[in-house]
Amino acid sequence: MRTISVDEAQVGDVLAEALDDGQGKMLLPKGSKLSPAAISLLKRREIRILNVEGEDPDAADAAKVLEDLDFRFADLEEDELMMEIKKIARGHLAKK
Amino acid sequence: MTEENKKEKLRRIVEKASNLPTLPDIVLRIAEMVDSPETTGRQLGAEIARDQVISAKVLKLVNSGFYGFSQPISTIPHAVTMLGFNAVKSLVLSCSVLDSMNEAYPGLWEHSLACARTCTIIAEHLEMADPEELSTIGLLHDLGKVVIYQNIEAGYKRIRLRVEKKEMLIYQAEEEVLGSNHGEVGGWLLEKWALPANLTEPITDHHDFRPRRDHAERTALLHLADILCRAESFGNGGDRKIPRLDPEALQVMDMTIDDVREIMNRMNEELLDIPRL
Repeated sequence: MRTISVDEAQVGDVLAEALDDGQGKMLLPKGSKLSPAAISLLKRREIRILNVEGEDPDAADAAKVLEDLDFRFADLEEDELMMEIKKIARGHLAKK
Repeated sequence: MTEENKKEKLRRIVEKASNLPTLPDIVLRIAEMVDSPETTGRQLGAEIARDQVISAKVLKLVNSGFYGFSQPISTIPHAVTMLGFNAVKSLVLSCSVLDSMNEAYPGLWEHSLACARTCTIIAEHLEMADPEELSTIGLLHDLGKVVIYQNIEAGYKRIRLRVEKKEMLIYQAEEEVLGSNHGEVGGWLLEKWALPANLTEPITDHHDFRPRRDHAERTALLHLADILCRAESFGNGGDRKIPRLDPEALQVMDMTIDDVREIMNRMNEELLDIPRL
């Protein structure tokens, strides 16, 4: 699941949670596939954020960078100095 | 063939490569001039400037950002003044090799550029003299990888295969296949071009740090710069693993992990134009 703003919503996105209008009235049930009309409805009702299915592509990229870092340092886990260097690099790469 | 014989044979191939026709007469003339104590910077600059292609390449290198001059350097005599004889000489002599960096290993140029700039950052951190010369050492440290690619085709293919299949470091695969690594190979070429030991030794030993050699501090600096560029993924050295940092290298430079952190933070802030590959 990922949280997106209504402006990022794409036709075909699937709601991971039901959406209500804030006063208890359900607008769209969980699992709804967003159509152009549904997106317009959300904007009209001033819904700002929604939870949709799927991974955030940026988060997936970031996860891949960190996984790659683990692989590159895999043979050095016994080496304290190299593990310190890895930690510093990780801090930099995680923010990218 | 014994390891020693293997190494001798390799060295002969590399030294022969230094006289290949790809090195135009002008380069050899420049090399001779630099070695003569009577040559002035002005004379040398004038000689290099006679060859448009080489001048253009050298000026492009000098201005590609890793020396960090605030004003562009537009003439060869100016470059000689700013960088010194030996740095300019090594750039002139190696520019045909540098052209092929990314053919040998995609991303090697970016790795070399990052390493050049990291050498400057460390040199500034340690308040060492000659940060420009150290930058040149960083730029040229993997010269041997390109020399192997250009001159030892079968060996190069076997090295790449080992790196990919066994997830080895290039220098370890080179030692298995050739009995020597790209540091030594690059060092031989630079020695053949009569560059001084303070420039060749760090390149020769960057995967084999030995604290008691003459230029141990410069070697330690290069050894660290190379490893930090790989840790931060700037460019690509051609292999994915990271060589182990020799703790003695830090001792030689009187540095702790806190110094390393400061340097890595500066790299992260300043090397924004270099892709992480």
